[in-house]
Amino acid sequence: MKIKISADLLDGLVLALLERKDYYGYALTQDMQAVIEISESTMYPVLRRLQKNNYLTTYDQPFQGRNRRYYRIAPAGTQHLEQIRKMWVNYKVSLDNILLGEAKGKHYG
Amino acid sequence: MDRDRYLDELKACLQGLTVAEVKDAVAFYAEYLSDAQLEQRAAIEEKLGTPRQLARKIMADYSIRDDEHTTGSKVKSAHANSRMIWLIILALLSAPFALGAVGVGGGVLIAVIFLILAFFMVGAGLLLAILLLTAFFLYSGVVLLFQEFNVGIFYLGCGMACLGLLLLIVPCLFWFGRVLIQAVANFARYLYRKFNERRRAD
Repeated sequence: MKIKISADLLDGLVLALLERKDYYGYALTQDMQAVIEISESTMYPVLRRLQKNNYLTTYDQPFQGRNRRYYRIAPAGTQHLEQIRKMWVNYKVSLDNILLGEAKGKHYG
Repeated sequence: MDRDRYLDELKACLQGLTVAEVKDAVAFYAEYLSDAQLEQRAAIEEKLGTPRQLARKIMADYSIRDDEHTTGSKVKSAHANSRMIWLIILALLSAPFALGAVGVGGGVLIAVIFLILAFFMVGAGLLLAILLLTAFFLYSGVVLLFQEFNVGIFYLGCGMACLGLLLLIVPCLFWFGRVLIQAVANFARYLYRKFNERRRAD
């Protein structure tokens, strides 16, 4: 079972991956799918939204006679990612308190 | 080749977007399919759905987000709202799996839309009736004025009253129709967001 993920977290995950390195569409989808359940047709709207908000920029690079579009995190994207991180930490701590409050010392995962 | 044909069909299904938007979307999926090394139609559709399903999802996403971006508020023209409602219904209908609660919501949405259509029919009928009545009274009034002055004046007065009623009712109907469409649009948008959360998880 995997927990459903909100649009904010989805943005955060994409930006966090892009913070490590530039990605092209397919590789990004693969790396996202490694951690969360996400359909193939979900990435395009997410990337387009992030680009529209100036959180990322794109550039093309030739690959085997065709173009690959790479996505690079922009300064505004880094800031946005920091906000999402803060939100996430708060969220995680308060949820842990409730979900795992009685279960300290046990091991999960 | 299956891949090219798939992309051509996708392109043909993408309507209401600018040339640049269509190009961008098709380029994204062309690159995706090349990188994923998907060649066979069945394999492509397993990942992305049919071209029509994918196109509907892209169009619905555009229509919703542009909605939020350009206006900032939730009020939009009745025309744009109708278009968005329609695109969302298409996207929901083309979903390849059972939708549970969202499916019920979609059913409600469609029912509400038929209700609104009925409302417009009734409104149009009402308007037409009053219009005919007005025409009848005014015509009779003018004709009778030269034969029976009193009766003619009475008919003319009735005609004027109907005309006044018409002027009162038309803006009311118009306003009410807009409010209804706006409400349905907001509901459709809400539904689509729920639907997307679900799909992301599925």
